[in-house]
Amino acid sequence: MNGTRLIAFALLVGVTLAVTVWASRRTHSASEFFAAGRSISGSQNGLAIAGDLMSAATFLGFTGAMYLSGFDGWVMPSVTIVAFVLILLLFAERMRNAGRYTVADVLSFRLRERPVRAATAAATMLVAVIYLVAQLVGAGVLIRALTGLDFVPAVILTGLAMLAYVVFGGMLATTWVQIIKAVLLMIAGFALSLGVLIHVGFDWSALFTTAAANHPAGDAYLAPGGSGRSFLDTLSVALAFAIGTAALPHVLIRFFTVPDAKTARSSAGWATALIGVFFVMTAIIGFGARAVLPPEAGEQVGKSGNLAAPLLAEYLGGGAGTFGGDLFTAFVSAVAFATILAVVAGLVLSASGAVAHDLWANVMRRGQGEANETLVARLAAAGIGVVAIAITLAAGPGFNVAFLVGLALSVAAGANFPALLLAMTWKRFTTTGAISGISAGLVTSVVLIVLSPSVWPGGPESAPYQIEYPTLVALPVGFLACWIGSLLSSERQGPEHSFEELQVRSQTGLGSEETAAVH
Amino acid sequence: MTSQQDQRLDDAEAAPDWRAVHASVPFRELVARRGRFVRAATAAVLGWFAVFLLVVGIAPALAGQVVVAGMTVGFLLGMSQFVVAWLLTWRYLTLSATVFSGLEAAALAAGAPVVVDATTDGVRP
Repeated sequence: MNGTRLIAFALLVGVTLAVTVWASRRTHSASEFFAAGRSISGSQNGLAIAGDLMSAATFLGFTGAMYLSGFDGWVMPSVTIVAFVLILLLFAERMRNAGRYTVADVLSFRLRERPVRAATAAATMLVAVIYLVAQLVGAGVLIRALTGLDFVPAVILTGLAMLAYVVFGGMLATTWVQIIKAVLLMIAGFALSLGVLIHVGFDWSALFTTAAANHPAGDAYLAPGGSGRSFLDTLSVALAFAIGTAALPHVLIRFFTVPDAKTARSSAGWATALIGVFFVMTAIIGFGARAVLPPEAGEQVGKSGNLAAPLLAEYLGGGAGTFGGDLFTAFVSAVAFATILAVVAGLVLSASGAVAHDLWANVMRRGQGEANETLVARLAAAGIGVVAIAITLAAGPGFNVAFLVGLALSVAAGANFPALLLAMTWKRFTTTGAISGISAGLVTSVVLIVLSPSVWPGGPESAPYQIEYPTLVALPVGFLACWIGSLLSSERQGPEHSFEELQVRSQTGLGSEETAAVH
Repeated sequence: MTSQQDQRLDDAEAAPDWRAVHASVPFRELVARRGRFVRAATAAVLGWFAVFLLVVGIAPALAGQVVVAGMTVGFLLGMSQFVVAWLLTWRYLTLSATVFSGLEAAALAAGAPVVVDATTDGVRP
């Protein structure tokens, strides 16, 4: 057990729980629970959105991938930034203008509400639960590596903190935990980058040439091919990160927390700027770890490369066993832990909205269930959290996290992205089109993941589908099914709202949800 | 309490006339101009993304070519994704502030309750 790191973790959990207590006093109505009372400012929401994508997978995973395979690792952040432009151009203002609490609000606005809501809610829950299990397995493994705490208590403690934020503090606590984390992570990233740059004498070229010289592959380290990934694999992963990320429900629901579309727009702008700076820092940290760390560090970093950033912190702080090294590692490790806590809270909240607002209040109670919506949402959050913790404990620390993330992003890209985009932009899109698109994207993702090398029971070589991520097929299938479904059905308009009304609403904000504070 | 307020906004009596807004000239211009920018910008960002992936996948030797010490073509192409993202974001936010917001306000003014009765027959489908 490492004392300094455990104390840093405890301090962090203490601060976030204090925020939760504060938020719980301000969270009573459904609008407060799901949308933080629409009280979040543009820069705050920008930090929270960027924070959703500054996960352990990007901070530890991307830096580790760059440490291990150089250029191939750099491809990941470079394609993920595309998602932020798509979010700003296609979704940010439209979500705020046309929806209330969930993605299904926008998708079902002018279609037959109950079937479309049910399908969208199912896709949202699947994405959230899969992503949640991936994050929790990652949390358990990471905490064990950083503090020596066992996998089971690590997962249970993480899960309990996550449930406390969401069940008691709703979106307000979830957002502020995310903001605190994002600020801490930017500070950690900045400190690590500065340490690397001082080490190489602020010579940008020297950073990369030293890194290549330290890597067994030499100059090939700065060229494609280091990860051994095929072209189709790269393409599929890139589509998952660029398109799937743009349609992640726990990111999109953040646009409901701001007062109006103008703020939604500016928050997406803040997010693009912040995540861009963060991703460039991951390159300095990832390549820097290779340039700075002694060759013996290779073994400690591990096969996934996840410990490259914490080890770099230890080295820059003065080395193993020194006070500075211990303190800097403790800080970076606590921030990595905070990252997981903040991201899982957002995931639980998005799934609880799908259960309470979509399935319960609008599908089962046909819009008559609003009075108890917040209570149901709190219960749903607790239920989903407990189920995810149980799956994580049953799966164990050896579970393949990369395939879970691939599946979640693929469902988001194949099931959510086409239907959401077409519902807002294509006049002839119908209920049948939406249902067939969502289910085709979902089924294709799940089936292809089972047939892929990392899951197929017959072993990687005999797997029928040889690409790591299903996105390359699931995304076109999703669009195609939306299109065919719409062509084959004759429905012209939803029963209550027309495409023209949605268009006016999403473009101008006419009739959109107002801020509680205004009245 | 708030959800009841939210609900009331959907009711017909409180709802502003979206048909009048839809038929108004500023709204048509808003949809056309914003649509044009969004289509062009989306094509640009996805196009540059495709160029990056194609160079990496089909011409890895070119991607590995060193431009200045330590910087390969592929690395700089990756970095340029950020520059493109930042520029398009900045351009969209400026256009929104200078052009789209004004058109939004003008379109909403066309749907103000005062003119509701006068415009119900002027709606095109």
